[in-house]
Amino acid sequence: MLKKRFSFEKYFPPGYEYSKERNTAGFLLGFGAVMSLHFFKNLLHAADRLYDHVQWRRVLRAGAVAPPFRQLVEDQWMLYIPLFLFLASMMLYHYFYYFHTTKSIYLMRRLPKRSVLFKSCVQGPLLYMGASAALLGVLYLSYYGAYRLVIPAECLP
Amino acid sequence: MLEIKALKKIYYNTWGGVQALKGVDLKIGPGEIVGLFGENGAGKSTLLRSILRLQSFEGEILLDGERICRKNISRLSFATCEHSFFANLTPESHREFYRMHFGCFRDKRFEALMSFFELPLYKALKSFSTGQKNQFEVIMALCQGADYILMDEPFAGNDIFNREDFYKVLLGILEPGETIFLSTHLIEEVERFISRAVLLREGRVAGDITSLELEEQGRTLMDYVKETCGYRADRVGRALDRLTEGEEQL
Repeated sequence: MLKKRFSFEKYFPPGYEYSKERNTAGFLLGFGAVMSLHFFKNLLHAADRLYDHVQWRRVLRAGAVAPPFRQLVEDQWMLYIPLFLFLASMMLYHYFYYFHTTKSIYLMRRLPKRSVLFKSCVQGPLLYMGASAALLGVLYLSYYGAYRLVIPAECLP
Repeated sequence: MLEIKALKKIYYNTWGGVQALKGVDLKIGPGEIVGLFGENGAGKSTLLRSILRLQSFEGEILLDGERICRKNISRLSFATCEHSFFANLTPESHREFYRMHFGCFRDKRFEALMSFFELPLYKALKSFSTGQKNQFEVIMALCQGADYILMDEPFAGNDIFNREDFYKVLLGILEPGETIFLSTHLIEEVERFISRAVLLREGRVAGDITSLELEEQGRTLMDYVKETCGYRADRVGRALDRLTEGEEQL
């Protein structure tokens, strides 16, 4: 059986060259993800504060509680603001694409299904947003795994 | 029947409003080939765009007694000199797009016209010449499967032989129920091709006459247009005289 290849094309305005948009979105997502590695610094710092240093040895402090995972990643959503702003602006850009070079907006507005024009403007960016959210979900799940590994069970909040 | 009742359109700008259409009343029956004429700014394009609901307007436009909406919009097609195709797509991709969205797409007609005009199927439209782009624009309007085909200066940029070909092909392929509403400045060229002429002047219908009436009156369409639009033939002569006088004085 032939496998149906996934095509980005159908999520964008007809004839739209989406590769630049995909690459920019990828870059901004990567930028956010790389910057989020700062989490490990916070994690190691939080873990360090659970211990006392006695003669070059690390001793777990009695009753020490690590900060919750949420607190360690709390401000990281801001790293993805450029990505989401970019994707939101792309929705507008897709609409103006129909005025570029030709007036294909005339054709789009004449289509019997009203939703086609709207969908062609928002679907692609929403797809990227969804894919980014999924990737970030996996990334933060792995961060949580690291948190559980580094923080002793008795110190979990 | 396409009925236009008391159609008005005002374009607003920073300094106020410009009334492009001042109450147009018109009826176009099935099978008619109607030429729409008028000076630049007479409201021809505005009228066509209003029929297609591409812009807001006052008044009423009915298609067989019903307002034009999503349900019956596919009964209207449009070819414009501004071009409404996707420049990055190939004709073949357009065929797929139209097939997907317009149930009555005329595949055989598309193939016949593409082959007649020798247009490549798998080349992006942005690489076509202006003439070829115009041809393709008209082909898509003719193949959409619409009953009313609206055209706004579709041949601007095509050479005379090409336009002649198109008129002949149009007359050959149109089915009895198909209606053409063609806005153009090429009055003498389309005279043999149209069955009725509508003249717009300053946003109003200034004239509406059938080819048969013109024939009976022994007038050409150009004469009729000049008379109705108040064309002053001596205007150029007088202007030249004034210019020459000025030069002599110097």
